[in-house]
Amino acid sequence: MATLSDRIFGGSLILLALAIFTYYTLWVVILPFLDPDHFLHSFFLPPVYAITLPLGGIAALFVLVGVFVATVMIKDRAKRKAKAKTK
Amino acid sequence: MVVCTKLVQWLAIAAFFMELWYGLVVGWFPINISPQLYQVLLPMPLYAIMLLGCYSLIAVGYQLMTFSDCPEAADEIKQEIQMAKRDLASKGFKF
Amino acid sequence: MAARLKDEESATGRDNKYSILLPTYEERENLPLVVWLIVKSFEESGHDYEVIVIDDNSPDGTLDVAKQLQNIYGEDKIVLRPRKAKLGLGTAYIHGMKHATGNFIILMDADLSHHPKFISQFIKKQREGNYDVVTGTRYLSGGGVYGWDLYRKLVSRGANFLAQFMLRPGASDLTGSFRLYRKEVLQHLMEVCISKGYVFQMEMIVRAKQHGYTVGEIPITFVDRLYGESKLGGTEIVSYAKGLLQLFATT
Ligand SMILES: [Mg+2]
Repeated sequence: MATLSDRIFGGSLILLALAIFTYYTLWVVILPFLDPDHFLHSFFLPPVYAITLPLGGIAALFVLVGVFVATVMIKDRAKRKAKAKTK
Repeated sequence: MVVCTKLVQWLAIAAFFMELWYGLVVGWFPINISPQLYQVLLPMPLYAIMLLGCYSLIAVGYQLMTFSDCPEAADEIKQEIQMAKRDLASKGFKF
Repeated sequence: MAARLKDEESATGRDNKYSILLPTYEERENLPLVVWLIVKSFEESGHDYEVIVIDDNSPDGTLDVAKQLQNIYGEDKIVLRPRKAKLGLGTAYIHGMKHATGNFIILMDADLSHHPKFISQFIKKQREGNYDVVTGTRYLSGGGVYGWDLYRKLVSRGANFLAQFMLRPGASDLTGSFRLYRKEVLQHLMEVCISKGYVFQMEMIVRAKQHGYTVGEIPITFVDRLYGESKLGGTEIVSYAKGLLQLFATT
């Protein structure tokens, strides 16, 4: 049995995934087939954003990962230099 | 066998679907695609990435929920440490 | 192949001998306890065994403790193969294997995070499927980890998911280090594998599969009594990712 906090966090990851899936599926797959004046349209941005926003998100993710790896490598190099000096 | 690494396998699958998608968008195939369907078709690569991401979140979330915390194992080892110490001492072991 | 035939001839497996390799550094507290539990486990199961202690010149006197244990349990059961300096895990296994007289090798941590009671299950599993490798898994039901916080569990699970997704290794726990190997299989894999740390354990399983060796699994519990001593920071995450990508591109 997992601890309570593990189960809550794991469960919220699953709910988050289901929410993203539902929203994006409605936006990208369902909306094009509805009438232009259907009430669902009011909950979503224009279709262009269904492409630009995720692309922006992916780009941001790449930048974040790059920055993370770079900082780790710079720190490691500094540590190794410090070690070499003490030796 | 040497060339067919996991990386190559994944690239092959991705390339196949990208090709298929591109062909449909550009109109290689003799199929009539309604304007609505075409609008659905355009963001499909992103939709696939979204599916992958959601699948990953669900998998990791589920695995986290079922990751056993086994406090019994910790209790058991604590008790056995006491047993071991007593028995070793009786055999003349100096801690 | 010869070893495999011999196994099938002896249904009882009584002519098997199991060598447990214990690389130690600063384990004077834990070594007597883990050895006691190993002896207990083998006395209950009745298999032939030896414990090979490979101490890397610990300043805390781990080797003296090991000598005391040798006096208690005998030189045939407790074998000491110390080294001059702290040389790392991979070379410790190679060094220990050179002196091992068993036809099976068991690798485990000496710090009590791996419980010797599982050894008899490793042996049983090996004989059920005549496996070349049996690996302990924390991720199947019956297994688990004690003493990790949410962050550590999340990173562990995420890292394992990535590896499963990218490599499809056919084993659920790639970074665990509680395993049983057929001796010549371990020798072969040690020659082939080049990584270090977590990635080393992962590479061993992936290469085992690549070379057509069979891998069995049993659930184990991992009790982290020294939580916080082994770090899991940016450095570890990046080196894991690097190792994973290397395996992704080469296997
Ligand atoms: Mg350990």
